Amino acid sequence: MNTLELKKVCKIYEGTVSYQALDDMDFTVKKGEFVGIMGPSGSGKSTLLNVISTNDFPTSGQVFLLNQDLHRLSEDTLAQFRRSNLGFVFQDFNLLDSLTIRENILLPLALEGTPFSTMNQALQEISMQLGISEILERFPHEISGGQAQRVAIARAIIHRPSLLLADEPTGNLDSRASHDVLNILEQMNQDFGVTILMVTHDPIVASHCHRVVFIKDGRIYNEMYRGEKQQDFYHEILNVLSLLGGTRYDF
Amino acid sequence: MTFKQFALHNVLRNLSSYLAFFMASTVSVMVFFIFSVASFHPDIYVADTSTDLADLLTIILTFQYGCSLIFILYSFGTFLHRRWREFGLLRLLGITDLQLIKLMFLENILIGFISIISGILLGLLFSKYFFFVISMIFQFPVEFHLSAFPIWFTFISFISLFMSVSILSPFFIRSKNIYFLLTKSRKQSRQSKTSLIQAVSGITIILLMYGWLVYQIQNHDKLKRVASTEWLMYSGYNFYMDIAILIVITYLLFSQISMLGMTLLKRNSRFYFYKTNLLWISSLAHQAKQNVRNLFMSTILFTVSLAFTANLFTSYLYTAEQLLKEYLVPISYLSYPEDKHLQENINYIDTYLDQNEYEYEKVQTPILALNNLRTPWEKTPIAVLSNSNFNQLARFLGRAPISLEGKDSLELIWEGWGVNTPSMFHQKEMEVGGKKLNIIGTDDTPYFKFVAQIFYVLSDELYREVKSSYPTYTLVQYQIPDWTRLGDFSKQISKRFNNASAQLMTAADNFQGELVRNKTFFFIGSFISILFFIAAISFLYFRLFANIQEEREKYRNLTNIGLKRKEIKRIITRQLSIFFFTPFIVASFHTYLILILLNKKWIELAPFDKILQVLTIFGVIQILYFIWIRSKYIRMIFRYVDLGKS
Repeated sequence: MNTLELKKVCKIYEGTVSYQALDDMDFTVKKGEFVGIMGPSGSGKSTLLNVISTNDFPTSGQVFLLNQDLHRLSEDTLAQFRRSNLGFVFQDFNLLDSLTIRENILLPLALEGTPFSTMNQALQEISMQLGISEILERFPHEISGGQAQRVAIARAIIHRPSLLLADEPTGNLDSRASHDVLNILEQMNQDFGVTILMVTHDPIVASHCHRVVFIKDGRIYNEMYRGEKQQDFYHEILNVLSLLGGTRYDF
Repeated sequence: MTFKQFALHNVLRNLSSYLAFFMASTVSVMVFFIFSVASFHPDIYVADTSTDLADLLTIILTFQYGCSLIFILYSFGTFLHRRWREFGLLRLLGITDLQLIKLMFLENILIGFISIISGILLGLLFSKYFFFVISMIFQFPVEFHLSAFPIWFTFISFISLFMSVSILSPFFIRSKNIYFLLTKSRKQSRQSKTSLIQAVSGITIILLMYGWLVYQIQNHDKLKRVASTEWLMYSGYNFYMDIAILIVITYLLFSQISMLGMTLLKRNSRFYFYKTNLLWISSLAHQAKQNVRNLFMSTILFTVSLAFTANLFTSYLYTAEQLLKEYLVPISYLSYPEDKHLQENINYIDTYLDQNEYEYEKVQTPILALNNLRTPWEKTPIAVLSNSNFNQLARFLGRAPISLEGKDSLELIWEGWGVNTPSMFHQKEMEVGGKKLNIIGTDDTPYFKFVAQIFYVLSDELYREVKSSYPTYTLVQYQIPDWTRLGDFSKQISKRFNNASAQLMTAADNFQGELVRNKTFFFIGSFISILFFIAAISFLYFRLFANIQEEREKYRNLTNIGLKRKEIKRIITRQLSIFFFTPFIVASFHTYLILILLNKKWIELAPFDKILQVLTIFGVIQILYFIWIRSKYIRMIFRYVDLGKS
């Protein structure tokens, strides 16, 4: 079953010089998959993510999430749909400064009007899982980046979304914290069957995915499935990247 | 691009962020201009009633200039605060202190110049109305007369004001380093938790203070009679002390109660974690510390503005009643022992009143003077009257009669002008005609005014005994319901009867003057109140828009998570209405308290419905302002949230 399906999605930015960011993109994500999207700067990664997250509208084509044509929905229904079916993890965490960690995590449930006891139970489970039970009463500026990203993940999946969108989730983290966060994402994917779509430009990060999609100039350039060994997958990714060219990757 | 162009572009392209500062300045200039046109108006010095007005206007002008300076300095300070990041960036690019001063100076002069011009233009527009009302009040025509002088005066006063503000302004940012300037605007302040003890003691203090104020109002007469509190009730500090108490209460209300309220709301998890409650409560709590200062300031300004207007309004409405309280009766005629024309003069007054169909009552009271009533500065005037005469007088004034036996005596004290406490006049021992009196009580509600400081009511037998040893004065007092129309007659009889053998006191001849004075005070006072009101709402405005960037980011994040437009609107509305209406509600309540405290001797002169009228008018303005700001704020947030979309 497809969780996400893009059909002939085009995105053209009109301006003095119009620019085609997505070009007839066809793309599906199956339930339970962990998909990585890679590509050089300006390849259309962010646009793709924006279109999927309904923060931006495609010029033509359709986006289906759980067989629902997203861009046909009204603003408020869309918001409702988004918050019950999508989870977001951002590069800069996007935690609210005025809320404690507990409150940040519970926010999506609170907005839904979930009963308090259910909320608390969900919080306990997830915070145990992610190892953040100790810091629940702190404020975002009192915790480290790695912790903040774990909190963001907790917030993104506490309401059991159908799809978790991650935009460079390790972009602001050191290598150790990155590793932690990736392990958590993998664990969520395996243990809870969370479907994940992750944009990254880091080959190490990408090598944790089941499948990596490379895009260039708004089109799918290549697609690869992971084999048994992560190490091999990493090297394959590097090969594709060198073929993609355009950007040098330092790591 | 030259430096001057840079400054110019900075202002012109950021017009919206300068707008609040600009409007605040414009209003200050406008009011100043109107008052200066009035005070330099040639007609003001011609009519004799207007010397009062000229003095008043000059005082207001100076006062207003001081307020404008503080106000503009404050608004400029908050305005700079919003631009810290910008200054950090400029510093990073290597701007020198001198250049920064120059930049501030140029920007300020530019804004100052525009706001002075528009302030003067607006002033010209409104001064016609101002003069129209002034001439209505004083009942002589004040033509709108424009000379160049007020324009120059306003221009120079305010240009120099803006210059001095811009010279001071670099001090706001000089001491801060670049990192601080760049990051401060995003830095979070730790939420302060209130301890239970602190909150409880805060609330206890608030309740105690309110309790004391209410107790004072209810037991004003009682407090006057206890030695330890008597001085409080009579010292001039009394009212100022109440004001100080109210200020402390206001501060505690915001600092303690608001924190406690937040903590309690948060503790109620079922409520706190229900839908958008989480967002608006946490956001209010997050900014509580900065909010406290602003809410406190604007509450004080609201209170000043509301109480000022309400007090001037009620004293204008109750001019007649207030005057009568001072005189007790509209006409009183004190006839000295050598007066040969008592009956004739009284008849004259009676005839006039009868002919003109005035209803009236009069009472004639013989009084024995123990010392000379005509020279109160030499010796405290003391007099006696008989029990039956007192009872007659008491009935006339609607009070209870008494009956005295033997040497028993009731002491009546007229406290004079409220400078001295009644107990100062109280005599422990008193002899009349060689007989020691047995003083059974003291009454300081006035029965007579202007006659003697102390009276002793004697039993009729004692009175008869001593009657021959003292000179007899006669006091005739009139009650006339329609007395305010007796102005001309009062003047006439005052001239005619006031001589070596009689003294006449009339209230009505002062009535017109008093009425005009109160009307002027009310009119000009409401002008100044509006200034304070604008200052108060500007404080709220600055506070709100100082944080807009932070809020915009927040709502953008929340939209990403899936917060609906409807919900954003609901959160903003809730937050803003708490922010806008708590100061106003507290201020309204305090205004009522202040008015009662001011009029505690005669509470009926500060009736609730009249005060409510004033509060309603300001309340409507506040609601309109709220509606405007809310829609503006929501628009600003949504525009930013939509920015990423195409």
